[in-house]
Amino acid sequence: MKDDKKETRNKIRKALTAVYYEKEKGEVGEYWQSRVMGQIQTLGPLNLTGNYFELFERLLWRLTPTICVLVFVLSIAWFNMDFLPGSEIAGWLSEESAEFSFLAQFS
Amino acid sequence: MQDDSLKPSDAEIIGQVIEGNVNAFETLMIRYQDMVLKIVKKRAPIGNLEETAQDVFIRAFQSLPTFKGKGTFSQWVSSIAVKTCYDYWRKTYRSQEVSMSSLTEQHQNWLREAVSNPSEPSLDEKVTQKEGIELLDWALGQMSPEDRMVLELVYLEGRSGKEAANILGWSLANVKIRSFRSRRKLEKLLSGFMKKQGGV
Repeated sequence: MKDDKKETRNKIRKALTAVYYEKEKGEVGEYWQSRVMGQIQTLGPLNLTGNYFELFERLLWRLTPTICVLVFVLSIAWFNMDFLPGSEIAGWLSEESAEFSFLAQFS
Repeated sequence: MQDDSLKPSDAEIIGQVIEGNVNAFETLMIRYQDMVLKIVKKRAPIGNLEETAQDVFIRAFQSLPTFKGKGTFSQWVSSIAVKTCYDYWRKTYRSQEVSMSSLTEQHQNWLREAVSNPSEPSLDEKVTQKEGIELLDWALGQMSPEDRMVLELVYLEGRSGKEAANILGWSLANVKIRSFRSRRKLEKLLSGFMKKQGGV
């Protein structure tokens, strides 16, 4: 029973494949090729800058996840840097003697 | 007979076209038009054959700078041809649908004959092939453009899932799932047609 079903399926597939390839026999018009070339000639030489832009656009979308992660990591880093304790900043300033003497004038 | 080694290679011609020699593209077109036309004839309706095939070459011309030469030019242009047909069906999905009422007893006879005796050619083979093509077009017209593409590549052309995935630029899993579903749908459609016509 199972084999019969399989055989029927195979027969249908074989017949459909045969008619599918039968479609290849259709013909195009006599001047089709020259018409296509005419169309291509009207487009003119390839504009590489336009294509580079397209490539960049595609690349940009591919890189979007990486860019997002990078922005996220940098934001965290910047956020942390911004909240350095004041004493640490003062420590840095005091290490510079010139700046220290300048600050001393105001103290 | 012209020596093949004297002919410019595809890569050389592509280089010329990219450098601005548009006419050099004609050589590529002559080399690959039969192959492209075969792909398009099987997929697009006869009335839109020339227009779709023209779109394939225009698309290939405009995309030439993106051809990296990883595969052969013929593989690359075949993939463009299949995708152009896919885009055609996406645009015209549903509007080209053939209703079941346009199918007759002759279509049913074709299917019955195919199941009973496919190896022996019938008396009027041309007529029966016409019925077969119409039946196939009707069944394919009931499918989504995605299922249609997979069914044509895998079920009718016998390509592997990996090949179909490469051509369509889809994942192998997607192709496998679609292949299974579309085959089921085709079988369901054909058995439904036979039942509706009061057949087997």
